[in-house]
Amino acid sequence: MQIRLKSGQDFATGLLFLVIGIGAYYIGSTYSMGVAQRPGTGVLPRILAWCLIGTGVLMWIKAFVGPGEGTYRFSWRPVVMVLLGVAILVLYLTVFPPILAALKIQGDGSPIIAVTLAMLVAVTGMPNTPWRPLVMVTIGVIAFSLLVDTAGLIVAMVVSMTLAALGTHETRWREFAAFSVLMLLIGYGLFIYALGMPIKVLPWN
Amino acid sequence: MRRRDFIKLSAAGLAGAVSGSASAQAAWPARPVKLVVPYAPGGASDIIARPWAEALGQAFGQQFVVENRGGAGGMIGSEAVMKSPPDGYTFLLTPCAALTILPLLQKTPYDPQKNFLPVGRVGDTISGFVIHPSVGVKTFQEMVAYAKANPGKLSYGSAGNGTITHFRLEIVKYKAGIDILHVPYRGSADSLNDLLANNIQMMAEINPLPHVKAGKLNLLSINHPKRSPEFPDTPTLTECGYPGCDMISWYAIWAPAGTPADIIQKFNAKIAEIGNGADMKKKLQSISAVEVVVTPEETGKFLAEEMQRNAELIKAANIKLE
Amino acid sequence: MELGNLFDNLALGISVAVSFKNLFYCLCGAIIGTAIGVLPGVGPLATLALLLPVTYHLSPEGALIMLAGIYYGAQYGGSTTAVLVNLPGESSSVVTCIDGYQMARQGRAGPALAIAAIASFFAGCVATVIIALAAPPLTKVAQQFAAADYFSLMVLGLVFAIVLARGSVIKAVGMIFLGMLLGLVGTDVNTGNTRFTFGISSLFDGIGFVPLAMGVFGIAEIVHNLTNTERRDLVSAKVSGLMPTRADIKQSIGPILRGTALGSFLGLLPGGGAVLASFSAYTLEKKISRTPERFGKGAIEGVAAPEAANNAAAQTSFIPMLTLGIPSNPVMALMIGGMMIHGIIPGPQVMDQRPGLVWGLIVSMWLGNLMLVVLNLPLIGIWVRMLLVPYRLLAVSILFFCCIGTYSLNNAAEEVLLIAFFGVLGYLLMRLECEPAPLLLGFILGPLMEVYMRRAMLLSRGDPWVFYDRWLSFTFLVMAVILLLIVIAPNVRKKREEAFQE
Repeated sequence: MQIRLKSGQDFATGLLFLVIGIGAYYIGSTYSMGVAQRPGTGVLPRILAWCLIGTGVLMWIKAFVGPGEGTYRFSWRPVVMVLLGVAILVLYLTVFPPILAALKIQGDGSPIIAVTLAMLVAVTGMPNTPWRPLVMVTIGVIAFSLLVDTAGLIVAMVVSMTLAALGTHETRWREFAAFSVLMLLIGYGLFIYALGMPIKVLPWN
Repeated sequence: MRRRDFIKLSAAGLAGAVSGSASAQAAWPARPVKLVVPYAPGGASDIIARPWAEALGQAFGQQFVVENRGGAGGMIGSEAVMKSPPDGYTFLLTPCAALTILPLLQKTPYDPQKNFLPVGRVGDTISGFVIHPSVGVKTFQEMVAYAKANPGKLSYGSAGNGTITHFRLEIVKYKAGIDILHVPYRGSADSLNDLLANNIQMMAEINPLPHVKAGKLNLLSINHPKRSPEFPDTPTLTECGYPGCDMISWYAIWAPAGTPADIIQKFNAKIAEIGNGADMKKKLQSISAVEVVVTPEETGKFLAEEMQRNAELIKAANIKLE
Repeated sequence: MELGNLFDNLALGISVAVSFKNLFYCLCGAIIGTAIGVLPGVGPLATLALLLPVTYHLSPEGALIMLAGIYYGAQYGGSTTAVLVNLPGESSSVVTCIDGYQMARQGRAGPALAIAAIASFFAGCVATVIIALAAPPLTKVAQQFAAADYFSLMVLGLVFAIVLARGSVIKAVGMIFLGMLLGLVGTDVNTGNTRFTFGISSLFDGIGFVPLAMGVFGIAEIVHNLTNTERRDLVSAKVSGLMPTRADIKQSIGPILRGTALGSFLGLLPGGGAVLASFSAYTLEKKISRTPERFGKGAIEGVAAPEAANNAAAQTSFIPMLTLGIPSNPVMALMIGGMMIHGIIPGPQVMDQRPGLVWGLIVSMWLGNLMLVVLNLPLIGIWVRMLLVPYRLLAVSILFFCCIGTYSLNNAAEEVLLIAFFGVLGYLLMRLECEPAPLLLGFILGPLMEVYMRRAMLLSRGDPWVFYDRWLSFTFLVMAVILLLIVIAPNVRKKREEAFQE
């Protein structure tokens, strides 16, 4: 009997569910269950993890047994990129901490950045995924969060908008420059002037 | 804060910095003073803090600004004040729980007795045990008898594990030797809802009180040394035979350790002046609170007593954050 | 309630609400609320917290009127971004994104926004009348709900979320579970233990709705549109007519009526019924429609019903506050705070002791709705024109507002980082054709379900049969099972047919 993959998408979705479900179960099993009258921290995580795993299995069944002619073609790119993403994560957990400490980059953000970047790399591995918009927009948002506390709103906005604009080849730079000035004015007017939010605007305040 | 306030504050701050710290001390307050409330805006603490901020502002001729810094049950705002410079321009205005309960149940970055200097008490909220009429008891003693005869049947709603409303139940359970089910909610508003529907039978907070007045709930006791003028017929907990079990939610102002003593004295004197005035008394009474005018030393002593009593209770009744 | 009494009260209310000052505050509230609703990130809760000190200097009537105006004004504004750029301003607008955005892509943003405003206005009026006529008896009804009933209601809500989905049911179910897991991240309030936080302190209070929604809806959509240039250009170029057609209006009447009824009822439940209003209305319309396949592709009922429902719920959620002093959501809690600052303790006596305040508020709610529809309808032209901006610039501005809006909530840069994370995840899900709406609904309902489950077990002294014993809870669970079967059955039948064909 030949088992053919009918739908790469269903397989990938199932894989996603299984990975998250198993991960959640693994972490959730360390939480206490409590007693019947006082359900503990771990009750819902475990139930949900099982549900997600179950859903993942169903997706896999659908991927192999569902309707379709099995014209899915295997390609190396997704596998390579996913492995690369995992590698980044592993690097982050092992090699980066001393480097980051030396550069004095701290704060809670770094695990989130690491996981986001790892995921970014893995996702660009999907077939028919031009990397440019996804990567540039994501980096733009990350840049904003890294810059806004230290360099102020204007710098953060300019950098992140520029990075995002780089994400598409349609950008016309003169138009973009005028537009970003407009955006900065609106942003300043709305958030700083009208709402009075205590946000740092310039790098030297 | 609003843009205008922000600009005013920065300008004032600049002026204050330029004039030098020594002269700022002598003319305290020379610029706006921050009262940090370590809870989200619109909560019970705001209702005490804002009238005081306004009254102090008028009395001193300088703005007293309430800043809300909620989170972690009061820990975040308190920590922020602990870390602020002790120059007399940042104070903590908080109900006791952040200082008398939290540090005993979990690790806090501050030690209430070492990191803060008492300035003065600014009000106690008065509440008492209320019970749903369907239980059929009208006095505190009847309730205790009922609870002894029916262990675990009554249930009591608190504002959450480790809050002062939780402790109000635990101390009575411990001293009277009764078994009442503790049901934690996320805030007193949720528990009031269930109380009115008789899903739980008891609470001890201020928000059921209007319903007592409307005849929907029975008030069993007043958890305060003196009877409340709103409910003159209800005995205090002490009168019911349980002295020292009041668990009052008392509000006080604290300064970061190292704040100059003369600033504290000046502040306390003004608090006493305002607290004794009819205006503040009326304002507090309208929100079921009463003013207690004491010196900083007495405040500090009260803190120590409360912390000791709570520590004993936690050990004896085996209270954990689970 | 005697009619004579009602007229007296209304007259009193009108005399309070129609003063120059109070009308002005009402207008301020409406304008600010709309602006807040349109801006992604900043929501009514954050705004009310900011403005609470300002209201201290107003009269209690003025303060409440303005705060209330901001609250329901935000409901009007939130649907605007949902329709135009697929960004839900608030949890109640998530469902509007589904069909509203599709309508915008078909060049029908104008009618979508107009119907949303009209539906909201109608619902607001009806809800105000309900409050005026029947507040006390309705409160008694709401009191019948105990923790077990809320739990079962949430379960029913989750099943509704499955029905919402356009595509594969299994994927929708998976999204709901994933959303619920995301909702669990943070500190478990009952025990103080942290779950799934990996030691990151900014996650201790959980993942915020705003970063999640901005990422999964906003960023993912931007990336998707920047990638697929051909599909997108075809659509945004044509904008046919700003006003809804006769057919649109005819199709919307039923949904508006049903949405209003559903929303008015759910808003009463202090335990959080309002959050269910918009998507239960949507699900109802989808299930009773003769052409359910249009849903998810730009069916106007999919905009009319949720909008009516969430505005009705927003208004009726005032009832528990006015009659009992119990807030149904954090915004109401803030308003109670506002009342208490003025020395008014909320409770059953407020209606008797300060009828001017209560009835003035009720009348001003109707006036506020009127102001809002007058404000919003002309604005539609401006909003729709914004869509004509070339997408390469629109994308940048969406990014801009997402970042600054989220950052301004708590001055927390980590929340912006979360947007990046959820943006990538959202794009991945989009490519896998997993829809974001069930994810967000699971995210909202999951933690609520847990709270009620625990409370129900605690109150029942550990007896799990309480969900079966209480008739309300039992009814909801049975409805959930039936609905689930209705959803699954066609799929099963289809598979069997295919199996037979092979």
